[in-house]
Amino acid sequence: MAKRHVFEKETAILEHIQEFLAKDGVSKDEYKEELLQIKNYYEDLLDQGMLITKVSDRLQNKLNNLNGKLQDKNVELQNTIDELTKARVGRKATTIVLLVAVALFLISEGVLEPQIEAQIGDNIWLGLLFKGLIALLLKPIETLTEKYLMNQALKGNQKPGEPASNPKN
Amino acid sequence: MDNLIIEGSNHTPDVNFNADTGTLALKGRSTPENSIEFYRPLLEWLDQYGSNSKTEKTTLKIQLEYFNTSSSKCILDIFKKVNALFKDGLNVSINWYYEEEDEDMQEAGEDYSDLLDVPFEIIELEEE
Repeated sequence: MAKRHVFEKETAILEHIQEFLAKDGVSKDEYKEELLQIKNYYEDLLDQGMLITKVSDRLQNKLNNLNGKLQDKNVELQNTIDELTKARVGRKATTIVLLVAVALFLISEGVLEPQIEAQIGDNIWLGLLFKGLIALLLKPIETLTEKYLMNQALKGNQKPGEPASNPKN
Repeated sequence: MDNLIIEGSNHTPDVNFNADTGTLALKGRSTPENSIEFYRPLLEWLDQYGSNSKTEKTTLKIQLEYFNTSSSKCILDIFKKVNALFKDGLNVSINWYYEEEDEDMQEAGEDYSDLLDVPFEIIELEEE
């Protein structure tokens, strides 16, 4: 059985017209009557064609708008993911830097200061200079750690063949 | 006569044609692979309804989010059947519902109503 389609009625009308044209001995009045019917069918078909085209264009427009909204939402979602990744990485970097700071403090107090005292004597300014230097190093260490962890996280999120996203700093 | 109830899916709308109350509802999304296969039972039901209707008033309620081109032709065929019922003297009307700010669906309703004589109301649904 042939697959049904939405223009079955119109196809049947066309078949009827073809059959009519194949007939012999048709009178002028019959032709006129048939022509009138064809005119009505054509009018109906034209109305349908115009309506379906208009409606279809509107729905295409609706689909385009929805597609645009979906793309905007995707960008929003990606930004949120990037922000979350950045926050997570920031927290991790802070923890690492804190541990580094504690380690450096212990090294400074336990190893460097006794060494300085043994070599130069009790020089409070030199001790403070070392501690100040360590404190000043903490921020660059945090930045570098954050950058490294962010790169690692982006590599993890990235699909094969996809360029890495670039979250705003 | 039996009511026609078809549960909707991702591609086909919910159909609830109730011959007892005279409310014929079509709701959801209409993008079937073969529209005529889906809409043929509805058109046949309407043919029967025309000669068996016992309700004082019949309302066809259409609430569609989206429909494809072939569905738009089938919906027009349904409207034409309802229009014919109206011309035969049946108290029938069409309500076309669209979501708030969905101008495309609103205008699609207007396009349909331009071709019909049956009372055709275009109703905006407010967001819940």
